[in-house]
Amino acid sequence: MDYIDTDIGDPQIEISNLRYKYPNCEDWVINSINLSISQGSLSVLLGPTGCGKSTLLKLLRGFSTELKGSIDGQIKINGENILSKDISQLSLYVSLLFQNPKYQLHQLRVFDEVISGPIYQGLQWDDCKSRAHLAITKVGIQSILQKKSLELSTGQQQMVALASSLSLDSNILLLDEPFSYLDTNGIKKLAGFLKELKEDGLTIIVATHNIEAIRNITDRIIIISKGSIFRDLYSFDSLPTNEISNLIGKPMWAKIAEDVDPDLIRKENISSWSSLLSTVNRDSILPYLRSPVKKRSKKCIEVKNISYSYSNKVKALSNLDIDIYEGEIIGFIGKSGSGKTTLAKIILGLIKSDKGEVQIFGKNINNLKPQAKAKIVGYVSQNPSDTLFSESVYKECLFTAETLNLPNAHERVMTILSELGLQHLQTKHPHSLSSGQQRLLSIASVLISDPEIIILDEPEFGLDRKVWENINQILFEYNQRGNTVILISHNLETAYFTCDRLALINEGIIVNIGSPANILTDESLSRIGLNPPTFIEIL
Amino acid sequence: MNSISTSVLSPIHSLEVRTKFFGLLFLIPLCAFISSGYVSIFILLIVCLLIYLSKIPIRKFLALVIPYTVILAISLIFLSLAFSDGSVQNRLYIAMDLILKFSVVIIAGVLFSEVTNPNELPIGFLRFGLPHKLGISLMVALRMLPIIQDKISIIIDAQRARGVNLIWSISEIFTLPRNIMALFIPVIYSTLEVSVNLADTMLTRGYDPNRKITIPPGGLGLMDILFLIFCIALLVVSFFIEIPPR
Repeated sequence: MDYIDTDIGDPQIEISNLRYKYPNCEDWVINSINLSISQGSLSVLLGPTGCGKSTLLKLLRGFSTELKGSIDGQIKINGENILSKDISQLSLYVSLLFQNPKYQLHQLRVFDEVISGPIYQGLQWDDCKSRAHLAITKVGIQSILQKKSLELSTGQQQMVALASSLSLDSNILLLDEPFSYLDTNGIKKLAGFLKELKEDGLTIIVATHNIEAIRNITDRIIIISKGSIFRDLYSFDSLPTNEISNLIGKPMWAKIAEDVDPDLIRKENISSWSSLLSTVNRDSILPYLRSPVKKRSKKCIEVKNISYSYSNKVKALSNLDIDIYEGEIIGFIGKSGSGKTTLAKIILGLIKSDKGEVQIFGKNINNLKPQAKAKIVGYVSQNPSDTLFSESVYKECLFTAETLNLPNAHERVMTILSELGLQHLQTKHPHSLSSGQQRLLSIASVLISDPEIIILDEPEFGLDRKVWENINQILFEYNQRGNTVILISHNLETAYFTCDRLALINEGIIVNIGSPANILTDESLSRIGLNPPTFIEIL
Repeated sequence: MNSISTSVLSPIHSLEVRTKFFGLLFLIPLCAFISSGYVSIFILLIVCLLIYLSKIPIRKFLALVIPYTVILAISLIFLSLAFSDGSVQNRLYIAMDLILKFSVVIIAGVLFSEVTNPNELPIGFLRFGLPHKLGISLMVALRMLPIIQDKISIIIDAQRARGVNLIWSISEIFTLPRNIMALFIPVIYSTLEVSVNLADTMLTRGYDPNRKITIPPGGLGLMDILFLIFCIALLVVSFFIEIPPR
């Protein structure tokens, strides 16, 4: 058994018969939730994308009026019904950290951000300062106090947002997908802080897909499906059951272990994915974990001695060389700001390097017209809404076909929508789709031209494991037709199980390149400050 | 705003925002407009001295000021020659006088923007006794600008990678409006998304536009008072002294 924390405090949050639906929507996003959360506990909200986790957190933070929907039931905090309370007064009790740290910094300087909460609460100036300094010391951001918000790394932004929430001195902390934007180091650091805050007596609720990050400090797992509580667990015991795994997905390595031995969980009486790790038959699973090295075919991309500096003279890439082969899936991994996306943009010809050149199938990418480039190399950006603008799914795909003057545009659109399972959504507005469907649509609008190479920037971002598995499958099928995939990711598990080869990039140079097994077990990974994923211990 | 010197500390940077606002954006431009003849040149020299004291790299400062000043000079010479009375020499004299006055305004304005950290402005607004809604709105707008700029560049890259041609050409005249929409709509959507996110953040921090917030204390220091006295003295000199006398 993994653990059960039976030392439960008094209920601090009590939710009874809570129902909520957004304006102009027929379905209840939150449907009859009854929940009691103890003081000083850390609870995790798990569930597929769009199941209502974020809405529940917003309602707990008092957004019921701002969301402008219909609401039934009660939310009591410390015995008081908060649905009748003003949202600004609730900052005394509850603070909420959103998913994207960049958008939670509304001040221009770090110190102003941290002190903003007490200022808005109207405290005496000295109290504001002492609250801010306490939070700053707790989170350890003294060295960046005078920095501008836009100069910070994603990890630093998340820490500043956390300090700003702590300066409110509320005793309930809600976090919505706090690990999504962080690399393995950032995840570890944030998980460490959550542990400390829990020890300080804060009640913490985290909505996340990345339960492994905080598994050792979690008291309770609340699984939400279609707005209702599907399971309420006080340990990780039941997570590996098929019923739950089907809903929220499971780590890729656990899936492989089960594929190798379908009776593994039953035979070994496995209580958690983590304990599964110690019981898998390493010899039988190893061949599956070590992706076979593909035979090298022709080079399709040659990056020769590329250097690039930003306008502020900061070097992004330095004398970088890499050859990419036809039919391979290569992953660019590294910390945020390491130069992965810049390299991809240079390959795409979106920015010109200061030195060196990129050849695609023997041609200099910068000599090609935009349409010609797009027919050869497709690009799926991190946020699908960066490209979606048409009034329907069908027209979105048709736009690419028409822009690139592709023959039989209508047939192509229908084929790609059907291949990606989006046919039934063709009349829907792209922005009305779920994040997973939007991601599929942005992939469809690129694959419609059948490019020989596709570059995906953090494609698994914000998706649950089930949706990602579907996209992964589409990428594999595309690759099996002999096409090349370049994947940019800070999720090392994704990179491992998707790619044939990984290029580890740090400070604008390729530190290591090779098979995923070699890269993730090599000391170069820890040398640049990245932690290997949990399953690597099998190797 | 192209900030080139926010990290440079100088006596001018350290002045309180209200002093900088009154001195550089009100009193010194006023001096320039009521002065005449050589006194205008004297005020221009005073402003140059302030630039020197602010330790801003002169070349970068000139790069910011020269484009505006050149356009202004050409326009004023043209307008004076076309619409003023008197001889050509007199018209050119009027043009030179106006160029001097407007140059002082431009230089003082750029100096203010370079020695004032944007985060000082909302506090300045609060200390002026203006509603905090105004100061907070200004600050959020300033915060949003780089985010939106970043978003626009991401969207342009994503659409260009999709084959969208944003360079005008005769052959693409019919597709250009559609291509612009491919940029415009995601930018609008992203801007709304960013503003909603920032507004939500402010709500979670407890911001209520109708409630009183804490105003960070801060009074005028000795340097502020000396600077303001100097500006007022300059104003008196500009008003009463004419070199050469009319």
